[in-house]
Amino acid sequence: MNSKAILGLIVLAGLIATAGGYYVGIVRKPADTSPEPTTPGETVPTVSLRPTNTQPPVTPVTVLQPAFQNIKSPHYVSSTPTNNAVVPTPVTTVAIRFNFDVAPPSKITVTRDGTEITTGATSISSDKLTLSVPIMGNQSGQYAVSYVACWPDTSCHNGSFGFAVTLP
Amino acid sequence: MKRLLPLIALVLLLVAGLVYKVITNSTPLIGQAGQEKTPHVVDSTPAHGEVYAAQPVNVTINFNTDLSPESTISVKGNNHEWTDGPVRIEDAQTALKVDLKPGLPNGQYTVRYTACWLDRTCHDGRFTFSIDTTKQATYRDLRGRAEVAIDMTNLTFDTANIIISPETTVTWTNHDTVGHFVNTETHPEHTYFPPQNSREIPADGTFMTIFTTPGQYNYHCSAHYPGMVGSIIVKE
Repeated sequence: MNSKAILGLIVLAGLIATAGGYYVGIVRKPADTSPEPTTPGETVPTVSLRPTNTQPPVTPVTVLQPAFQNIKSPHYVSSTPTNNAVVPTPVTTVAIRFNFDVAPPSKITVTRDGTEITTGATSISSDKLTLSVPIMGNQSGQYAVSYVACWPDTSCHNGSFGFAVTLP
Repeated sequence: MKRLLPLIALVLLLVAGLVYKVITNSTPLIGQAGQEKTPHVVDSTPAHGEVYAAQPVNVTINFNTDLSPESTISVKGNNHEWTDGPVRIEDAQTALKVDLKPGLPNGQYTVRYTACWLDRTCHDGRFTFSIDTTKQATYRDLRGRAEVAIDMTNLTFDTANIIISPETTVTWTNHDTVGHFVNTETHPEHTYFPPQNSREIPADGTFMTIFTTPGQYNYHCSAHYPGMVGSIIVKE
């Protein structure tokens, strides 16, 4: 078999493979694997420009809060602050309410712009329906909450949400 | 020919990359055979591949994020659709549920669902379950009684599998020194039949539930799962 024939066979094989992939990927209407959903109305965040010595000062543009997706553990009911809340005052406690008994070693972790700012241990209310943790939320920024909710058999499930603090 | 080899290799690499990208972007998450999972799905009642001794009263699928009303469920067996009524979203918008018509015969059923999120994107999933009524031979028939008592002793439900009549009141009593729970499937979401969910039952405490709709109700103790389980079939 000469080189031209071999080249032709290789190209043909490539075309068949491409056609097959097109069929699987396009014609058969694949499941939607779009990335994590966002809150409707989310806009692209903008950044403020640092002024230079030779340019006039640029008016700072407010950084828009990225949307947090509320990943709910089983029995999640609500949280304070709520997911994607914009709080104009310092936040000192994050609380999460459930409709079933939570147990140790349930835990809440809160970070601000990537830095952990919890100031004490997670506590379980006397009725076993609320987890809470003290935090240092006295600065403006994005606060990400991740928690582990554990049940009486000590199995645990994760959840997460977030909020923003915008102080004057 | 030798001069063409690098070009041929490049073409093959490009084609392989294209095919790989298309296929991986189109393939849904694959669980066990016959199961396709959407993002954010946690579990379901019935579970994939589970065999029930009587028909379930509903199909409940649990997720870990908010569902939107566009979500759907279909349950088919023998080319017949067995869902009864509209789909409901429960449990802080994370449980997708649909009731089933009475009279499901033995056999395999395919559940196909579309889970939609708040931004209206949707994902398709699928799983199966079966019904085999010969498994009722392991159940104790307590039909004809208005009330049935189940004792919790030695970390067990003393009458684990029972058949009762509709409108029967079942009362669980804790005879152990540790606390117990009575919770509907699936652990720990407990979304299949919420009236069968207790808080912690202390020693000598009781919990009761009235069962009206025929079907199978599996349950467990959340403090001693999966060892402490029971099953109730409601049957005329």
